[in-house]
Amino acid sequence: MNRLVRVVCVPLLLLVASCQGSGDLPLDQVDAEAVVAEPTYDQVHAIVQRACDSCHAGRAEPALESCLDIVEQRNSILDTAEANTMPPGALPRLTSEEKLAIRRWIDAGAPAPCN
Amino acid sequence: MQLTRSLTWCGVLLAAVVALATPASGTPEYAARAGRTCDNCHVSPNRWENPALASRKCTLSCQGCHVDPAGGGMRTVSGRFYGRATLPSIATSPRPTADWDRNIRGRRDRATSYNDNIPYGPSTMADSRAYRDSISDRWAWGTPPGETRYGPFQGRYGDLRADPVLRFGGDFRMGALLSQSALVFPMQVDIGTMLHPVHHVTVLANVGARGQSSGYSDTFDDSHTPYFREAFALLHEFPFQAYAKAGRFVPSYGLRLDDHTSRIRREFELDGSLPDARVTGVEVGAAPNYPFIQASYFKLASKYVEPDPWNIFDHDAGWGAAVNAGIRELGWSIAGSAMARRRPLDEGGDADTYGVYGVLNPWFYSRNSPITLQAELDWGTYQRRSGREAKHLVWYGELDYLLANGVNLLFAYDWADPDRDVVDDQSGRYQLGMQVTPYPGVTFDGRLRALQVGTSTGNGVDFFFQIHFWF
Repeated sequence: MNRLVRVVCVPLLLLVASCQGSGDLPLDQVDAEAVVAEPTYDQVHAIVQRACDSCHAGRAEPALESCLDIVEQRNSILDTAEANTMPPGALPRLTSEEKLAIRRWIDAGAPAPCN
Repeated sequence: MQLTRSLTWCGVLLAAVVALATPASGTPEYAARAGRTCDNCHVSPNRWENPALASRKCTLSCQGCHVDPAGGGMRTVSGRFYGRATLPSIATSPRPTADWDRNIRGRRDRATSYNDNIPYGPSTMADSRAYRDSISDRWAWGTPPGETRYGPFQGRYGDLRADPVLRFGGDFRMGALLSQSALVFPMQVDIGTMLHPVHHVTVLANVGARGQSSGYSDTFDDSHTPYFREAFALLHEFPFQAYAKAGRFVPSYGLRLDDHTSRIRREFELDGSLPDARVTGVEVGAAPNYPFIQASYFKLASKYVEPDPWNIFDHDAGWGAAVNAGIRELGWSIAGSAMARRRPLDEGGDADTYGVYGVLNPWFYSRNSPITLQAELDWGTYQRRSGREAKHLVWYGELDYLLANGVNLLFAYDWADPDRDVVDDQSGRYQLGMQVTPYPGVTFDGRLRALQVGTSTGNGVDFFFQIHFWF
């Protein structure tokens, strides 16, 4: 039993210990083309729908339900996403790719059917 | 050429697995937790019998309890009987944790309080005929015609039908999430139908409604919500638990956890709650007691477009293959998985994934240690839309402690780094939970979860509660 624990658990723990940490560059420097230069509103809307609508479509402020809502709140969306403070609790945060898509959409002037 | 080589390797591995078949020396002791199912096969139920080696299931193999050999969903009669008679639950389980000698007259120990209301079945095959009239199974009908392996054993599983032609099953879950606000939502509704017209042949269709955390209206208004989670034909009940299945399924890979949000499932398109995780193909496998192997070849849908909910052949964006093999002892298991996915870049690109995982049940060795440990480590590569290859690494570990019959304490940690070259994109999640099963078919599951992200801000805590009904 003790031998089994040593043989199985110790290598696994060492593996896990060696897994910690990550690279040292942001996604746009690792892969400049990971996200298109000018993401469409639909791409951003899909991200907001998945990550924010559980609460911000009619329940919590600010509302992120309509196109106008998303355009008006774009900087707030990006700030909270990049600070990893939303979605709340232990819900998974936005991925590097999703954050980059929102940032590039805003940098491109936040093109949307409602503005 | 590549396919031929893969099939050759699968054949060699399969032959090796069968050659390694050995009787389970752990019997007649129960394996810990899910492994305590010896009485499903060895007991008649009031007499100990050893089936022939080719018929034994002395393993934690999923198909010991589930219709789908890959695990999860509708249960076999053996799994249902386990749920009634052995699964640790507060109210009805007549077999507390100290029951190491089964509830058989002449084998009882002094430490266990026994329940004489357990149904006693036939001692011999000839006796079993008398039990046909005593079957009272609400969700199963008929017996396949002709010679079948389990049909003659009416009474072995109490009043459950031993080998039904038709069976319905269900799985319902309600969830509540408390963080800065409270959210109550339907998580999952599954209705499964199993048709078993003749020995060796089963067709399974499982229709699932995917719950949406945005609430009831979104769940039931979305026309894409219900879909075929599983729909396949299965050739099984062969020696050494060999099987082949064809249709829509989730490929066998790694630990199939009861937590679809786990990163070891979600990172590799294996999230059981999503239609995107489904593939259409064939899978073959065998589990001659301790060793096991499962190999599949399948067609894939686009990574960016959900497959049709009902058309199981709407998977033409590429192909994939997976192998899952290892040893599942009664008290421990260790295994490895590998999976390749090939798609054009604009459909999701290529991905290669490898994993090792294991389970340890100290309870099997010491009745004072009702502990289960399980862990999985996965690594691999995938293509971004740009075509660049990214490397990811994922870990999951879980420790369970059975505090009392039907009360399980859980501590879990999962960690993922979606791109090893990108800074601060890794995150880990701790879970401290309690699962209470007052009655077989009902579980209350509460978990305090803490997310730890790679950046200086953004850590968070929530409480997740789930009520789970199944039959």
